[in-house]
Order: sequence, then structure tokens, then C-alpha cells
Amino acid sequence: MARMKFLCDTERCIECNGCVTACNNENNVPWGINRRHVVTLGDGRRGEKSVSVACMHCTDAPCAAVCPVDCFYTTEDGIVLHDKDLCIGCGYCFYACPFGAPQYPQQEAFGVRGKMDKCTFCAGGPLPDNSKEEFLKYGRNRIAEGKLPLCAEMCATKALLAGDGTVVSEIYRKRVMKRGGRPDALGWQTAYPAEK
Amino acid sequence: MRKTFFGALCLLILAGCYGPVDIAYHEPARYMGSMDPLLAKERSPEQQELLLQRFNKGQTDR
Amino acid sequence: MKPFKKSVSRKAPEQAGAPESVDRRTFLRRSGWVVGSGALLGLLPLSTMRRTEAADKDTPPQPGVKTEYRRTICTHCSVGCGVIAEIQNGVWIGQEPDFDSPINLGAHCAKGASVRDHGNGHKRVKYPMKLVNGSWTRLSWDQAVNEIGDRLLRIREESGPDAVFWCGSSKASNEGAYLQRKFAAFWGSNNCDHQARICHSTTVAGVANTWGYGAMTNSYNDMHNCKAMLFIGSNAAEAHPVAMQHVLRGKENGAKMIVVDPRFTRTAAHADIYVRLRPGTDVGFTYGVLWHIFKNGWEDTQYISQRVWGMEEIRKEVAKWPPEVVANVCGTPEEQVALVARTMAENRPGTLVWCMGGTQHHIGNNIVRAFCILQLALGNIGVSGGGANIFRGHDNVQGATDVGPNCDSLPGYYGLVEAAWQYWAEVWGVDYEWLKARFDRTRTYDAGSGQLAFTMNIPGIPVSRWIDGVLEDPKNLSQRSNFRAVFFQGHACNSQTRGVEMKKALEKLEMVVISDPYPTHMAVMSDRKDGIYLLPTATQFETVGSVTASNRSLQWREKVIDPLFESLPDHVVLYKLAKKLGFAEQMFKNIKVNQDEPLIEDVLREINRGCWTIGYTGQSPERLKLHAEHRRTFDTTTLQAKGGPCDGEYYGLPWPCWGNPGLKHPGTPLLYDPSKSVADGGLVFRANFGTERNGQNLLAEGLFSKGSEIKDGYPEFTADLLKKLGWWDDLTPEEKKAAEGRNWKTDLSGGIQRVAIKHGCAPFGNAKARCVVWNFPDAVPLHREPLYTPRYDLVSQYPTYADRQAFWRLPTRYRSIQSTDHSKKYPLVFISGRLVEYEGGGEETRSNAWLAKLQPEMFVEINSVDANNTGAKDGSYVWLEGPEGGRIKVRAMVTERVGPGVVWTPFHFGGWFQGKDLVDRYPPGTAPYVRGEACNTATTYGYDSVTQMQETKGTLCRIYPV
Repeated sequence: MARMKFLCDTERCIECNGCVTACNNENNVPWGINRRHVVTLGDGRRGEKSVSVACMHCTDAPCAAVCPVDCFYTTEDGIVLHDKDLCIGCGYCFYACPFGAPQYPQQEAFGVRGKMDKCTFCAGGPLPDNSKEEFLKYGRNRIAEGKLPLCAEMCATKALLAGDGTVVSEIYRKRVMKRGGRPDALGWQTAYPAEK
Repeated sequence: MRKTFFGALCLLILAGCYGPVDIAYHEPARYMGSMDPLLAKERSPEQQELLLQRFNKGQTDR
Repeated sequence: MKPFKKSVSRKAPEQAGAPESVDRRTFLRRSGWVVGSGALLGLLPLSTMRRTEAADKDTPPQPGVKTEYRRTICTHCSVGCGVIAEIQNGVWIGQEPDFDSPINLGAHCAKGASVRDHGNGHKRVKYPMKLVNGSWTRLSWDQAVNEIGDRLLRIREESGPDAVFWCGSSKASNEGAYLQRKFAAFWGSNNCDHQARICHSTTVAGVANTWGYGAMTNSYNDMHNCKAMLFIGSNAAEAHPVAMQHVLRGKENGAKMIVVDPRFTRTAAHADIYVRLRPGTDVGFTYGVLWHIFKNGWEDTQYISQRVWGMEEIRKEVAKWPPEVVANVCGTPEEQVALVARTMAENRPGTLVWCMGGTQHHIGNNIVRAFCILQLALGNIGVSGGGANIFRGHDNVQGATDVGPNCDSLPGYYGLVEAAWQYWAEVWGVDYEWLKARFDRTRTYDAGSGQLAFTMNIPGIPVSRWIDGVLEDPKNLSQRSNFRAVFFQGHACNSQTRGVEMKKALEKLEMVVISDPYPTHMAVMSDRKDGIYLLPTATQFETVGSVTASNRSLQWREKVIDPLFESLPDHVVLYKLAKKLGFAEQMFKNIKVNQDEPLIEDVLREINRGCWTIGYTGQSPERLKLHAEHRRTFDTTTLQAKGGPCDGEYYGLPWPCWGNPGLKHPGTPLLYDPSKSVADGGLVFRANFGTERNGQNLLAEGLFSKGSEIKDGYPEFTADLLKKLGWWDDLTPEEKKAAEGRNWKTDLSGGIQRVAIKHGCAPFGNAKARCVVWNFPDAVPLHREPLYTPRYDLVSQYPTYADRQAFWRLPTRYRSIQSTDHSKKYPLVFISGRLVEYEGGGEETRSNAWLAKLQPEMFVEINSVDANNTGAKDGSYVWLEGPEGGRIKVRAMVTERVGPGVVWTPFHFGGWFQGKDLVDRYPPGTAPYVRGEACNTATTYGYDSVTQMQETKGTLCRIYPV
């Protein structure tokens, strides 16, 4: 069984926002929010690095641990999803998340927070796969179609990888070996601590 | 008599501590939402193979 | 029971140690975009008001409905990324990665990943309109064409055909761009142009005059093979993001990556070596590098003796650029220049990439030639992993340059001499005398260097100068009248300099016609109340055609959706207008027309029939469609097909693809690479400058392409040469008839090319590249200070040119501008560049909600030193004022990205003018989501001494708080 993971190779990320736009394009992302962000560290200085961040689909996801209504579940492939029908938009998961992944669309111009929205690894939610309802609530279910997240599939430089963790880390390992230096997969230790 | 009464009282008090034992403790992170049909699909080896092929087609440097 | 399975910290350790500098997005959030958006009503729509539109925007894929997949090419930059569109019931519902494309392997940047939004077209011009008393009035297409046509015919009657400026587009397909050129010719004028003028015109002229063709020599994919990569004035990470996939693969293969730029760009962030230089001093810097190369004997002497002419002259000039002079003029310390030289010398083959940072100067032609010379000295041209990898800008700027609306040439770079016109008249099947009579024959005019000519043979007024075509005293023009009307099809006006004068020019015109999917800045920037027409024109997703990527590969675009609203594609608009103006029958003689729609395939066949000079002859529509279908079979490094129906051919048949389609030439993946035979895509330098100069041999010596039967240099092929060589009888009798008295460029049978190639020879000869271009103002490339220079003390040593009276039909000023020192009042150097989210003038991308929300405001990058000196606060509004008085109100972004003394702005914004948002002037519902000051409102005069390229990478400004 695969264990789906994201990896962003900062040596390749050029902050082009292709991933962010691909995500918006594919997932019916509510206006005013983005499920994915490109964060630049040391902007405009030597050593500038960019990294594309969204929900990392953590092992032992902290969002699931703090959710008061238990709307999170993890699929067989390790994808962390949630049921928007249960979500109350309380924001606990945002505080628990090390990556700032949970987003809350505004219901009204000055109103309350809406139900939490986040990256689904392009796997939709707990509704019939690729139904209209699923699309409108969670976005496209590419995993059910045998495809992988569009952000990674469209990444301009193949910096962002999405797939089975062993395959992903193998590609990354080879790249690091080829170009020298030490591996620096931002966020991996946090999201996927070594299995006991 | 007093001993019997005291004993009965103790029993009664103790009896008051009794309650049904099958309490629903809140178990964090146990999913309470509806079932996702994707889970069943993911289990199929064909689907797993499809995803691996897809990865190799699209995300390697070819 | 544990409350948590493990302790969770809010911040990842990696993030905790992050440097505290502010990135561009954080900056925008801080600058009030997110936090204070309530106060900025104009910006509110992004988050809230737009939700109404969002509803109809999201057309969910419907289960059970058949999904069709159509493949096209991204319409933004010149990389040429494949796009796969998912269509249900004619609606564009999704995009899939085109993994099979050997160019992008599925990848997209933000722009490419957003092209589906074109299928919504919320902000498009939806029907023809004209401005009447300040309000937009709806017209039918017939009304619009009749009104415009009548007005044009009247202007022609009164002032001659040169009184109209026909601006075409690098975003048109090859066929659309070709028709734009042909249209101007049949109207009777050379006053047509497109974005290449202000993009790479200096490259095209400078590079072609050095070794033959003015195009990218290798390909993006070939960068996998580089040992070194030198980027000067190119920010590929933002301007050509998907090219970075190949660049970074090259880097991982061990290439050393060097970025030379006044700005620490996102490309520089990935470089091994970053070097800052002062804008406009590229010639000095390049000579500084050559100084070290010559001093250490690192030049490739064998290569130079066989393939290069005039290097001795260069040595003399290079001797004037020792390290201390380079440090003084360019501001680059000796050790950095030496490191660049050593890195390039020790890591061969190496490539040199340049873009607008090199070209947009009044000495742009000198700068690009200096780059070529550096590569020639290192022996880096004509080898895999080397080359002059000139990244072009727009998606089809290469194709439009090759076959499109250029004011100084006919399709295929045939020029404007009488023989060229006669040749094309023959291809078009029209009588030359008839064509001639379409032009102004009333008198001759000063063609430039004193000789007189008819306007048919004088280059037209280029797009960089159209405003002077309107405003200049007609006595000074080399044509009968000022422009009285302009027709802009697919061209933004905010990409040209001198916005304040542009506004005056627009207000003086009698008629402005904008044929575009969007209204553009042009529709709103002037105070006109009448006489602007908007013609809703389709994007390239709504039609078919071929497009030439920067690497010279032609790709076929399928039609994704039908034209939206009342839009019509370029070629239909041109046909309707030609019909009204009375020359449609002549113009479309060889082209089938179906209900006002010319058949695109027939247009490409006509291009194939005529463009022998650059080998646009082998790329028939059928071959291009076959390549698209079997694109998976092409290698991602060599671009050569392995097996399949295209076996051995190169993807997109990169030009020159010699001979007729039947010859099955595979295309030329690397220009001037003699390691392959010409029949297999090999090549040598073109013999385009004669065979000798000052008694010296200009032909190659002892160097020839593989399998060549002439084991030395040779001139270009003509019928006579074939006879001399005894190869004449290799022609068929029909070919002999067509080839008699002709040469490889004019033999319509293709026989001369076929026979030359059969004997292993390049049809265009085998010569040396020349370092000295004796027909240019500076035969040896020289440094000259920008017209508006911050180092006025250097003007006496590196002065500009004398003013010219007639240059591209216009007086052109140099010394009279530079004679005033502006550097005291305007101490900051002002340069501009690209953002990844937007393209060109930006109207289309700023109207795309997915992109607009990523870059919501115009800004200026300013170093903290200058910010403190000028009182500019990070995130607050400042005025940026140019020395000609134009000023723009933009937010300051304080950053170390630019060095002290230099400020930078993006150039994609429009819809504001000198502090005022012009939102009310757009036709209802068409104002782009994001508007801002056009940087060119504040830019200044200055034009290249060969091509009239504008000098935007190095003018001056001052900054003060609002």
C-alpha cells in the first residue's frame, strides 16, 4: 500500500506559483483563499529559497487530534481528509497545523468563518467519487481517477513531487546525490517523523 | 441493630455510586463523519498500480 | 487517556529559523491588500464581490458526459508548453498536464496553469463597440467594419496609405501574423510592426549580422548538456519559468550557473555565481570578461581561425577594458569578472542566455554583438551545450519575427528592395505593378543615408516610435503625412515608452481601432471622447494555427473552444476588413475562404511556398499535426524522435527545415553545428556578407559540415554555382526551369536547396562569423553611456551618437538628449521587468482572477539606502518621476534585491494614469481585476542605433513620498 506524501525540492522551486494556480483551477477553491502557498525565505538576498506549502497529510495528523467534532479521517494511502458537514469552522486545526494549511473562507463580507478548507491531495472528500456534490464541496477527485495532485503534476521544474513516499524520496535522494550538498526537504521531519 | 443500620447505610451509599458501565468516552481523532468510498477503491491493487504508473509518467525527469 | 497522541508545536522548526526579511507576498499583505482591503474599495472585488462571478465560473465536470481532450500551446511565453484542455459540451472544464510534450513534460507556471480562465472570458470585449461622446456604444460587426473601412478609405484618399499604422502581434499565430504583414503590403504601406521591435529587435539584427540568423541557436532542452550557463539580463525564473526545468537539470548535471544582472533575481537565487552590474554597461562587462580570456590565452584559436573573422579588431577594443576600467564603468570588481571568465573558460561548452536586459538599450545592437563575440572567442557556437540561447518573449514572437508584420522586411527576412517585392508578388500570384500602385508613388523621400526612395522601399515607422509618427512635424517625416489612424491588433500600448506623449498622440488621432480580446490600456489612457473602436477578437484558444517557440520549433494548435461572445479570430477580422477595403480577392488568391474565414492550412502552405531563406518550407500542416500526435516519441534532451512515424526528425521541425515537405528534412535542432550533415540537421555559418573583405577571406577555412563534398568554405548557392560545380544536372527538368537565374532563396521549386543538401552542403553557404559589422554605426561594438545616465562624468569618454535626420522615416535624437545632465535631479537608475504571473502589457493576465489575486498591486523595488534617502516607506505610496516629467504613483517595496542607486518596477500594469485609476473609462464589465500605473508613463526617449529598440533598461528617475 502506498503512503502518499508531498515533497518540495527547494533547489528546484522557482516560486512561479504554478502549483497555486493549478490548485485553484482544479479544485473549485473558494474565492479569497488558496490551499497552497509558495513561501520565500530570505527574499531578495543570497540564499533566497522558496518552498511550496499546503497540507502535508501528516502521519498522526495534529489537526485530527485537536478537532472537537472529529471530522478528519486518513485514507488507506495516508491522505488526510475531512467531512465539511461536521466541520464547525472553529479554527482549532489551524492552530495545531505546523504548515498553516487549514483555510477558512469568509461566509459574509464581515461575517463568521466558514467551514475549513484545505488541500485534499486532489482526493475529494467523503462523498461519491467525482460526483458533482463532491466537486463543489471538496474539488476534483484525481486519486479516484488514477491521477495525482495537479499542483505537482504541473510543477514548472518538477520541484514539487506528490506520490508514494518511497518513490518520491528515491527521486529526491538521487537528485541530492547528483548535485551534492545535503538533503533539505523542508517540513518532512515534521510531517513524517520516522516510523517507530 | 445500630451496626446493621450503619452497614445498610454504607451499602445504600455505595449502591448510590453505581451507574451503567458502558459510558461513551470521547476518543479523539476517531472519525465521526460519513464514509468515503475512495477508501475501498484505494485498497485495490489495480488502483495502486495506476497511481504508480501515473507518477512515473509525469513526475520523473524522463 | 492521553489528550494528544504527541506534542504538537505550532511552528515547524525549519520555519522558526527563517530569516526575517519580507517576501513579495508578505509585502503585499502588509501593504494593505489583505489587511486593509475594506478601505480599498477598488480591490475588494477579489475576495467578496467576485463571488457572484465565481458561481458561473465553476463549471463542474459532469459525470456521464463525454469529455473531449484538445491539445494546444500556451499563449503566454516562448517556451511553448503543451496544454491539454478538457471539454464537455463545448465548455472548457479542466486542464490536464501534457506529460508527452518534450518541451514542458506537463509542467506549467502560474500563467500556463491558468489558461482555462480564457474559456470564461468575464472581462472580455463581448461585442464591437465605439466610443461616442464618452460612452461605449454597441455596434454590429458589419456596422463596425463599414464605419472603420469608410474612414480608412477617406484617410487613404486624402493622405495616402502611409497615414495609417497597422500594429500586429507576436501573440498571433504564424498564419495570423503573416496575414497582418500581407495586409499592410496590400494596403500599400510598410507601417506595420509588432512586439519584437521592443523585445529582441536588436538581437535579431545584431546576431543575424554576426553569423546569419537572428534566433536562439540551441534549445531549452539542449541546456541539459551545458557545462556552464551565463545569464545576462535574463530572469528566466519569472519570464520563462518552465525553461528553468531544463536549466536546473543542466545544473544538476554539473553545469556552473552564472547570473549577471543589476537585480538579484529569482533566477540569481539559483545561480552558483551572481554578479551585479550597472544597467547599460553590458558591453564593458563582456569586454572585461574577454580581457581575462585573451590575457590567459583561453580563447579557442583553432575555432577562431577557421570560423571567425575580425577578432583582431575586437582584441584592440578589449585592451581598453582592463579590470580597473570595468570596475569604474560597470561597478563590478575585478575578482568577480575574472571568476566569470575562468568559469566560462574552464567549463566548455557553455551557453549564454540573454533577454531584455541586454537588448533594450540605445546600443542594444552593440551589446548583443559583444555577447556573440564572447561565445565565438570561446568556441561555443554550433555545439550542443553551447550556443547563444536567446530566450524570446511572447509565445509567437519568433514566428511573427520570421513571417509576420515587420516594418523593415517581408516574410522570411526578404527585405524591402524591389527584387524582394517582385519575389513575393510572384508567391502571392499578384501583378507586381498592381502591388506597386497600392503604395504612395507621389514622390520619393529620404531613406536615411541621403538617398531617396519611394516608401515601398523604406522601412516603416516602428511600433516604438508610432507616437512620433503622429506628433512629429510632417516636414521631417520620410512619408507624406502623419498617422491619422492606428489599428492595433493584439498589442498593448503600455509596453512602449513615453506614456505622457503617447496620451497626446492618442488624442490627436482621428481614429483608434483596437482589435483585441480585451479593451487594453489604450482604450482608457487618453481623454478621447470619440473615435475609438473595439473589435472583440478571439484568443488563440479559439482558433487553429501554428506557433514557433523560441527554439524555432513549430507546434500546431488545435481549436479548444469556439470564439466567445461575438469574437472573431485575427484572420477573419483581417479578411472582413480587406473585403471592405477592396483587396480581399487579390490577398486571398491562393487561400480558400469559407464564409469570411480564410483556411489556416492554406495560409501556412503559402508561407511554406515562400520562406526559403529561413527554411519555413518543410513544415507543412500535415507534418506539424503528425508531430503533435506523436510528441511522446521525441527525446527530451535532443528533441529527436526515436522510432514512430517521425523517426529521426526533430520536434516541431525547428527551422531551417530545408526544401519542400516532401524532402523530409528533419529540422535543425542546433544552428551552425557542423558535426551533423545538413540533411540531418547540421549547419555552418551563413555566407551573407560576401566572400572577402579588405582582401581577407570571409568564407570558412578547413571547416565544413559532416559529409560535405566541398571540404572548405563556399558561397551561397545559385543556379550559376550549381553549373560551375557540375551539379546542375542533378535537377529535374521542371526544377531546372524554375531554378534558372535564381538562387537558394528565390528558386520556388526548391531544387537548388535539394541538390546542395544532396552534396552535403548548406544552401546558404559556409562562411565565418564576423565580429566586425561594417554596415552598422559601430562596426566594432562599443560602450556608450545611456542617454539618461547616472554617470554623467563618463559621457565625455563614452558619448552617444550624433542626432539623425531620417532614420526609419523619423528624426532620431541622441546627442541632443544626452547633452543635458539629469543625474543630479534624477539620481536613480530606473529599470523594469517581468513578474511570473503576468505577461506583456498584462491586460489579459490581470483580467484572470487566479493570477490577479497573486499580484494585486503595482510596486517599485527600492534599496533600503535609497528608501531612507528619499523618505520612501515600505508599503506606502511614492511618486516615481522620470526626467521627461511623466510620473507614476506606486507602492514602495524596500528590498536588497536591487542595489543602491537602482529601482525596478514590473511593466505589466495599466489602467492608471499619473495617480488616477481609470476604471470608469472601461466599457462596463471589462475593467481588469487588477489595475495600476504603467511604468512606461515615466520612461523616456532613447532608441537603438540600428533597430529603434526603446531604451527601457536604464533611464533615470527620482522618488518622493506621496
